[in-house]
Amino acid sequence: MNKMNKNELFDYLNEVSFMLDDITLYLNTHPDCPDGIDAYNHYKKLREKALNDYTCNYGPISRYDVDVNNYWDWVNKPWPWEGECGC
Amino acid sequence: MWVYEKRLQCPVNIKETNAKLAQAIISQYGGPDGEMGASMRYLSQRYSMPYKECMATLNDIGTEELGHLEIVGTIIYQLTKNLSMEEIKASGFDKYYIDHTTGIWPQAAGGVPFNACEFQSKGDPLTDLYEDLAAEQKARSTYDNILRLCKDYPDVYEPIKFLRAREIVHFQRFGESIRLILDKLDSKNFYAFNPAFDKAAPCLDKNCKMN
Repeated sequence: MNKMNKNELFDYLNEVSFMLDDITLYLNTHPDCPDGIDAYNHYKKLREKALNDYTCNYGPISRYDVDVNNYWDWVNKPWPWEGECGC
Repeated sequence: MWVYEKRLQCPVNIKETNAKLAQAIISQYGGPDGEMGASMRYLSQRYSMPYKECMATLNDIGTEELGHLEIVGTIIYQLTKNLSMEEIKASGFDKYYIDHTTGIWPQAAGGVPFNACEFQSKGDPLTDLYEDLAAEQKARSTYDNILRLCKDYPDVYEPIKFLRAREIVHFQRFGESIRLILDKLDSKNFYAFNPAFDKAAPCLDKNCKMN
């Protein structure tokens, strides 16, 4: 996979997360479906990697993953309703 | 317990304000078929749901609806950001502005405040799930109505189209939930007892000695 920039990685994280949102609803009513289980395991790995890459490079998505030294950076990172420019 | 992620399920980046459109779309925030009612309905109904697949379905769709509430709130916020007084007066947004400035408050397009009477939690699995099917269709119709209003605004159209598609997926999952329940009930009389309440209902645990 080519190196993604910040926006591309964020979009990719949203896409693989959405795949899990959809697959998990399907699995709730088809808990023994082998194709559903394979798809879940596949996208779970992709999301874990994307979430980890994004957090390490651009900051936390979750407040359980804040890398805190001398300032609580969670308050600085933009909120999703602020839109692209974050201003 | 919920863990917040600083991202929307579907991105929203609206470049042009439009207070008139915001006043219509706000119905999906706090209106009769909106996302607040949807999330509260499923998250309230899940407690008395006795079937494990259906409990998971209510929990997880209810959670997704909270994410949709956030998407709709974001759309309204961005459509009304930095409005001038002229725009507020010309768009008819002045009535909302008097009570809320440009804060986000759950109301219907016609100004009626959000009310828990817009959904039911009946404590009867079939009754609740049939309500859920209807709720998804009503929300889908509302999104269809919104789409007709925002054809020329792709920044708004795309996330609304996403939300509409999710209503259809949820409808499908609730339909499957009903099918799963019916398979476990007496096909001669599905309504012989309320499996969430009556003692006549068999325990769902196959190893339970009470059966």
